[in-house]
Amino acid sequence: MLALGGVAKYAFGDTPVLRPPGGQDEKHFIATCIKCDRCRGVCPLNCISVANMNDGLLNARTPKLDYHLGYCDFCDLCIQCCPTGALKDFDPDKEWVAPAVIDRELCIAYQPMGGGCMKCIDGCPYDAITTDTQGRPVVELDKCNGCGYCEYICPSNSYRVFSGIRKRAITVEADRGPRIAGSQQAQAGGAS
Amino acid sequence: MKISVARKITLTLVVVVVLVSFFVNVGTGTLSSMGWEAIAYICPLGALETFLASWTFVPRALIAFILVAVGVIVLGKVFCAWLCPVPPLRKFFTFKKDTSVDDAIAASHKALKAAGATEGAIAIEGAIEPLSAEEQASLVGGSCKSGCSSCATQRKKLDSRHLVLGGALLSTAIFGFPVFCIVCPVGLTFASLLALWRLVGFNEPSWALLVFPVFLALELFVLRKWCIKFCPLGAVMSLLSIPNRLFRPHVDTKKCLRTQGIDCAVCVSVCEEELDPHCMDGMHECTKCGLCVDKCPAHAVTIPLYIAKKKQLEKTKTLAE
Ligand code: SF4
Ligand code: SF4
Ligand code: SF4
Ligand code: SF4
Ligand code: SF4
Repeated sequence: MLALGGVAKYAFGDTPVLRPPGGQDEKHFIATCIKCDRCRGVCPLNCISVANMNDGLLNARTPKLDYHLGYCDFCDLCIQCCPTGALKDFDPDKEWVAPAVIDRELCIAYQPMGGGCMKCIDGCPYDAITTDTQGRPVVELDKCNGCGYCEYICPSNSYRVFSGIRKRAITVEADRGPRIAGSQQAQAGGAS
Repeated sequence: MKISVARKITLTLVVVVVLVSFFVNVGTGTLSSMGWEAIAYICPLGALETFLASWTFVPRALIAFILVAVGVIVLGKVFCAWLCPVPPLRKFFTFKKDTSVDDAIAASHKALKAAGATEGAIAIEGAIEPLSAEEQASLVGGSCKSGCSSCATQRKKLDSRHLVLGGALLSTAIFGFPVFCIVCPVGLTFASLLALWRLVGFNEPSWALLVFPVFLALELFVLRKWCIKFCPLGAVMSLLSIPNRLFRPHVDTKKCLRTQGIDCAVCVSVCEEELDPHCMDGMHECTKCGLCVDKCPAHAVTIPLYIAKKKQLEKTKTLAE
């Protein structure tokens, strides 16, 4: 058992996983989630998927948001269902699941010839995506709470058939630290 | 209805509930936690692990844990026989059948026939020398002092399962996450089902589909006797069930073939917990599976709600007279 604990923790690198709302404190989350599957099962918008072995032995079977399947409207059902308090109370006005990040390589609006796609700008329920001077989308970090609606509707994949990549042009990705109220905090990774 | 049939129905219901929660957004969960919104059963070992891993006692988890603990104290290790998918799974995938039980049953039937009685017969006057009053008294739970063979094999209160439990809890406290959950065969059973469903329904192939069943098979077939030698979940419940007094199997000594001098051991050989319902010691390990009740050729075993020790003693006295 001791060996198992050590091996699971240190030998199989655990990749950051996007947790359902209230599961952002990863240390607390991984200490308390008993992989019961209730949060995944209850989500009415089906945005909770399940992490598997590729996410590390430690994360396998824990819940993971997949915004290709749905988005989150912060209905809190998963938080209510969680029997261990692994998912804590969540305030979508002050916290985030993680911020949305635009990949300019993939985004249709950022293509030299392309452009015109306004889906995420129009779609964001929190008006967190505005336009720059050339009408291209920009995420307002003090408004985005990572609901994933933009990722859910982003058509970049279906227009660019060439790649076979699953990633969409706007994604909500784990491990960008907590949300700091009222600030345009620096975005790590992805954004360029 | 035979108890084993009732158990099959219960387990099927559990699996159905889990499968439903795959397809409908009800969030009823798996056996790690099953319920409706905030009202839910919680795996007692899982709950303990989260307390140790996080050093927080979330009220909801604590309340659920206490309720489950009370349930186990009152009902005993019923989870093992009525809800846990592991023993049926093992049975299903064991192709070489164990014949010792059938042999024992056949032997008792043969002895019965030789004694000129039919199955279910009660006392066969004069056919066989009845046991002495002293021997009869020794058959009754609680008063057993003469050290008959059934009590010689009696299980100890603490065994290797409790060591595994200690290791799991220690490891959980050190590394800060529920360590046993990773390899829990109950969790892995449902995780395997889930992985299969994600593959079919969502085209999400993953190593899990291979790794989980392999883990599971290792536990069930390499660590044989998982339930009575290794399972830390069983260990938690065995500790909690020590005060349990309800639904303990009870042998009607008047009917039991041993009283008639037949060396019957059917109830002992069917019991997966390696208990003898004649012997009260160690009976907290009983999972109320009812195999001894179903299989006893003399229908001498019952699982009454409650049986007072005094009453048992009186019964023996009248028998002895
Ligand atoms: S808050 Fe509601 S919509 Fe969002 S992940 Fe939880 S259950 Fe799904
Ligand atoms: S409901 Fe809570 S304990 Fe269960 S899988 Fe989801 S986060 Fe983990
Ligand atoms: S919806 Fe997607 S492709 Fe369209 S502008 Fe937004 S990020 Fe770019
Ligand atoms: S209780 Fe039944 S099975 Fe057990 S020894 Fe007596 S007759 Fe045999
Ligand atoms: S004593 Fe009887 S009911 Fe209890 S576990 Fe053994 S066979 Fe099952």
